[in-house]
Amino acid sequence: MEAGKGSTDLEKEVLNAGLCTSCGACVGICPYIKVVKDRVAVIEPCGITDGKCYDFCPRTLTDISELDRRIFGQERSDSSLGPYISIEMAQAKDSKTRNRGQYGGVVSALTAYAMSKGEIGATVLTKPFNESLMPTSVLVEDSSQVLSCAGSNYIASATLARLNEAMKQQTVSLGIVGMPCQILALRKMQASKHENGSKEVKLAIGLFCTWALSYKSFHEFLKGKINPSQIKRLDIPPPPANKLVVVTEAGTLEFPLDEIREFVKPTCGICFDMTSEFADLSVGMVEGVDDWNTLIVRTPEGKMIIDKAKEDGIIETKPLPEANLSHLREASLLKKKRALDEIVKRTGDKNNLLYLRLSDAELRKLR
Amino acid sequence: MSVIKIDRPGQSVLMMGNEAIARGAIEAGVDFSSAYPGTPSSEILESLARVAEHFGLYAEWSVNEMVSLEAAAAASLTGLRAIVAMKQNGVNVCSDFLMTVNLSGTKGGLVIVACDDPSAISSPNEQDSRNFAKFADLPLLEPATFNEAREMTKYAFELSERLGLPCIIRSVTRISHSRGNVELGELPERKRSPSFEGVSIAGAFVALQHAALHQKLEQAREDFENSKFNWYVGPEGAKFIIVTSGTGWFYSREAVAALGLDSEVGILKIGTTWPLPEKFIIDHLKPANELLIVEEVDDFLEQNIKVLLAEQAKTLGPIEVYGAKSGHLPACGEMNQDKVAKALATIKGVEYSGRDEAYAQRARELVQPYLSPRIPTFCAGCPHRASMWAIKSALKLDGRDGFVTGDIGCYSMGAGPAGYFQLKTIHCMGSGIGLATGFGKLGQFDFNRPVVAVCGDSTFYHAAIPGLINARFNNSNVLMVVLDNAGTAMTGFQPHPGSGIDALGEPAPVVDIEGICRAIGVPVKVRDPFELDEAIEELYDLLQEDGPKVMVFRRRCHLAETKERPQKKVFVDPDKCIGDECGCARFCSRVFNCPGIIWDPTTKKARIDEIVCTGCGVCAYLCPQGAIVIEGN
Amino acid sequence: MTLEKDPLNLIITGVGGQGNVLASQIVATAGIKDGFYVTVGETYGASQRGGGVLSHVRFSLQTQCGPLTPEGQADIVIGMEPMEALRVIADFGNPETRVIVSPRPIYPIWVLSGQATYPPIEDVLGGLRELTGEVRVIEPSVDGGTPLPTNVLMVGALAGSGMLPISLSSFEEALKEIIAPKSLELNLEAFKKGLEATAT
Repeated sequence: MEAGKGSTDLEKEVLNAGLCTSCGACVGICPYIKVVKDRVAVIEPCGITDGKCYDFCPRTLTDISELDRRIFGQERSDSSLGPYISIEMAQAKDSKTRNRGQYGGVVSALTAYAMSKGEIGATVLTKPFNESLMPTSVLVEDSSQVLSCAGSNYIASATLARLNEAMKQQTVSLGIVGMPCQILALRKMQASKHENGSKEVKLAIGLFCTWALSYKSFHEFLKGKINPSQIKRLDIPPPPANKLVVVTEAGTLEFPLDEIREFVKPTCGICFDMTSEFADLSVGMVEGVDDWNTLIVRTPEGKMIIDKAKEDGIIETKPLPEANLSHLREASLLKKKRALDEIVKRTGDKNNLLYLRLSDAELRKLR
Repeated sequence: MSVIKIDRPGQSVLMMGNEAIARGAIEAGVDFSSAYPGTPSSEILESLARVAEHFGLYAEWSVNEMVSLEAAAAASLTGLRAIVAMKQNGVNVCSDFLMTVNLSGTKGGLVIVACDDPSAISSPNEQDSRNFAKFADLPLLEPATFNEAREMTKYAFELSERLGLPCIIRSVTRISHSRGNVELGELPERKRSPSFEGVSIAGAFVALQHAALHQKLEQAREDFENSKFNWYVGPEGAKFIIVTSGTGWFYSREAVAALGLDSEVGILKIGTTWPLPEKFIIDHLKPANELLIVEEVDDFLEQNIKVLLAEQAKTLGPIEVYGAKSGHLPACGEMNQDKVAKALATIKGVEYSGRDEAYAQRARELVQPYLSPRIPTFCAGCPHRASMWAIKSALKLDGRDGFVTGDIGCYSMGAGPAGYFQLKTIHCMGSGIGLATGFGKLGQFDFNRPVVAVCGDSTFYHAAIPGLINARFNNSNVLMVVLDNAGTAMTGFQPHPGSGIDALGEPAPVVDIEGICRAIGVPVKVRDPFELDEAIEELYDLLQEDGPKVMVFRRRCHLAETKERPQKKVFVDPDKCIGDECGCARFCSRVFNCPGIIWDPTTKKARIDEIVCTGCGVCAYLCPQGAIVIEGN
Repeated sequence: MTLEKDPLNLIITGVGGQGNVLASQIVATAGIKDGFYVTVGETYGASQRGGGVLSHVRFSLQTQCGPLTPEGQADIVIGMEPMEALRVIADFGNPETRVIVSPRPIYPIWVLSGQATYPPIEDVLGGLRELTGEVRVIEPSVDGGTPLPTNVLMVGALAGSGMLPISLSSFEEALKEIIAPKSLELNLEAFKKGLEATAT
């Protein structure tokens, strides 16, 4: 990790360069950086030249191999999906959880389970719709409230800002459910030389993500068509549907994905990570199977929870069909290749990969 | 007990110039008084309001100077005596009416007091209101001492009544806001009864009315020829004469004395400066061949004297005139004794120094390294500090290089470090929203920076409503932020139409700001600026909307608040304060800049200055470590 | 009734909010009671909000003086804030000027924000001593947690110093006329403390 940079550098290199993912890692630490909706800004330079904000950011220099070694004890052998112990299909056994949650309800079921077992004392979750298109981050301290945060939103939100605030007060161990950029930022926090409470985060569940939408432009787009405060659910059904389904109190609308793509945050185009490669557990959909999740177990801590949850009948798993696995690999690899192309297009220099630092071997495999 | 109420004729008491003017009005039996607050004029109406009940007179804070003059003129038109007071900018506001009430004429004595602010100590300009007297063909009086301020006011009522014309008194900061000996006069007993028959209506007769006005002014000139407010001191037959008015009298006399020129330089002091008492002046200038004109701000006297000299060239012969045009005295900024003495010394070819030059040099040297200027800031606890921070934050988050147009009030300081340099314009009352409506319509020229107009509550009523209506009518992209601190704070927290009390402190109906906005058809939100996160988010959201919209930041002036309620104690927990470290970097003392918070460089912790702190507690909300604690919370 | 010098020029200086205006009003009222012409020129308005404040109080037996003291002509300076006192001396001081000063700083915005540092108090007082004839330092006192008003404390110190030919009874009458009844007791106490600090 590079040392000696602060909020002024963050503003220049990330915020003004259109690289901000709105993950919230830099927010809630100090009074200088604020977020409203998905807009992050340095309100006033703080004068600190070696700041947490710069150090935690998932879009400042990130050495992938070093992170692999720190988290997994070794560098990755799988270039498309990152380090993992197992990949399976999973679903929550409780049908209510399955119905409320996205796909198989595994994230909600595992989070509530980890809390009820005392593995974690509280979890930072994102409530997808709170009478607004904009999701809100909440600290859930009671496992019964987990389900109210179920579902996806596709709008980036500063979940880690809530984590930063929670870490100032919370002494209990924490869990978090986040997007790949948020999980990456969490790992950078845990690796940082700057003291912070992130070592208390004992369970990091990462979600699959291909892109997130910018609140402002998507909100503008929807405004004339529906009342954004009435949205209940956003859904992108598996291919070949190629559409975004918006479910509101007043009815359901569908938009072709191509129409939506212009609202994708510019930083998503340079994102290298589709499957939350640095999480304890990564969860996403299974193509063609509605009520099951793809579950990637990456760390021993993740494995332990999964084993217990299976034992206690919270979730069940079964092997992921080979076709699905290879599809997943292809999709993930495609995202990485596109990201590399886009980065080089932006920098105009094959050796300037912006925030990414990859081993030569990795780079060769991807190129 | 109010000093202007004392009934002991002949006694000398300490009075502020503005109190002396109010006392003069009382001695003249004033019936009606009105004003809009403005430094340095506010104490005139404040003083009158305080004794209104006692003397059975009427006193009101009007919504602006135009209405104030119109209301006072109404009383005058019924035969009552009325006074209206304003700062120099207020004369501009009421000038439209002024330029016609001179034609219609008045009945009961109507005195307009214009208090100018040379050096613009508390103003956006330093205009010289005397020009309005000449412009409007109205008699003008300039007091030179505190007692003269009292006497002139009393006389102005009599003159106004005799001529059927409003009479203007021009004071300046150094008269209005200084104090000195005032000799009390008799208090009147007579009461007037109002009656109204209508006034002559302008139209086909305007030119005739104008001619009549000139005749009235000629009458005034005749009256001024024998006025006790004009005098000459100095040697008989002096070749060098200082002609002066107003505070120039003090400075001229002291400068002549300081240079030891009493035996050769005479001083001709004119108190009735429009129309000039020509015969009186010519008589006194006959022996002179050099003049120095001493006055404050414009070369008003100088130019009119020069015209007189030209007209009387045959009688007076060639006279050299020194003053603003010759460069010996400035035509801007406050006058003082040193400026006059230096001018006099230059003309006379003598040395002048207030003190030993080596000493002065050493004094400046010693002080130099220490003296960063003490720039005015918002008071400890001032809601504007939080409002400015919220506006700065919202504009930064918005990211389109938005900016703020300013207006007149305490928040004008937002242009400086107190308000994080947010205000980019400051002109006159109501100009913030007016400018903003223009900036907000430049989209077709690809100027799309968001514009925020700030305006105080008192300013809102005074002059901002037409601007807001214009923004709505023409659908301009502006966000107006009304900084409602529940009073006219800058000038001393006088009540206004939103205060719920009148000039006498009696209950009054409240004119609702949000209601006005809604009636105009503009979306309006209300928020306590101390709820900063919510305030920032709401401002941000409003900035994303097209068209005009209003945010009211409502929190009472903390200076007013602490006068009525005991203040809470606030302290810093040194164990929690992280000072210079990442996560704070001295936010409270270095950036938020409340004067109640001190950075202690030895302990490297913030500290509350218990004498300055007013206990508002917003710093406790802002501290990222929760290190600032409010006692009892 | 005499004046060692006519006019005699007193300047009271401090920071907005310290009560300069009240202090000058008390001194001037007392002066008029004793038969002087007194002129008080003060800067406030915008300065009310934390800026430096100056009150010129000028005494004469002959005439009403102008509201501003000419350069170098201050005979007495009361400084409710040390740096402001030094600033006044730089403009209005002379080697005979006498100074009564509170050593308690009120930090300007630049110092609060760390962009400038406030000089050590001893340096400020040293500068005053070098430039003037006499410097008396009056510590503001805090009595049982209630801070005594610095302005009236300093007026008391002035009264006790004998620098002005104004009677103690006129000072006390002026105080009673000007101060609101509810805070009179506290102010009389402050006046007494100041008086004791300089009375010999």
